[in-house]
Amino acid sequence: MMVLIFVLLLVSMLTAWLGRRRLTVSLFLITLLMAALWFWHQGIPASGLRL
Amino acid sequence: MKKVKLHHRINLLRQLAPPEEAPPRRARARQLSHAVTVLLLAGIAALLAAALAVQFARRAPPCPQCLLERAGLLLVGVGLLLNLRTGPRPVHYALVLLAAAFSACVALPHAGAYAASLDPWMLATALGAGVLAATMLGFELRYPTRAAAARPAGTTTRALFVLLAALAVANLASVTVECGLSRCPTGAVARYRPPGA
Repeated sequence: MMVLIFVLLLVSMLTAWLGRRRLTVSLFLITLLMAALWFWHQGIPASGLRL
Repeated sequence: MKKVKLHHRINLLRQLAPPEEAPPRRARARQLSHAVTVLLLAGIAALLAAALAVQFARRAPPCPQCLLERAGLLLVGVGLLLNLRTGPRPVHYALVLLAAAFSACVALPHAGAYAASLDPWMLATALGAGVLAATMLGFELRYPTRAAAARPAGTTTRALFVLLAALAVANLASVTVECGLSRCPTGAVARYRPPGA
């Protein structure tokens, strides 16, 4: 999943450079959502935090 | 009667609205936005390059949370790149703000635990980017510049994009080697811990 996050990140960076605004915003939000899900399910337990 | 009332209201609103913005102030806001964007992009690129350098110098793979911090900062960079390529807009600053908040949330538990590593710098950069993005969002709403076309990409902009793209590719390669397509090893947290921490 982490690999997928970075792939999406790279693609969104390229679309931002190409000036595709809406596509970039969509990819950005999908990437951020995936990263947040990863953090919630794996990052928080691994860091020892208790919510 | 209704028409008169409506007309009266419109006149009242016109009187209450701020006067038409003078072009120099708008131009100044635009210059400020460009300068802040370039400054933030350069800071993010420098920090990510330093993180990669530390990783290779210690020959220790970064922990999964550290990778997530880097992803968050790269996302901040995507929002800033949009600003440079298509002109400043409130939605771009909102994206930067979201990514900076996420990065700060990820970096916060680490910054205290590993004070000798780069995590406090990651946290400070994320918070700084958030504060600057919020300030620029306020400027953008007060002095909207989106009517103007985006600047053509100069040498600085191109160099920053190439640098950020190279850093993203390097991080992708690092993540692929470390995690592959499965879950990242949690043991990397212990390996990342700097000596004395």
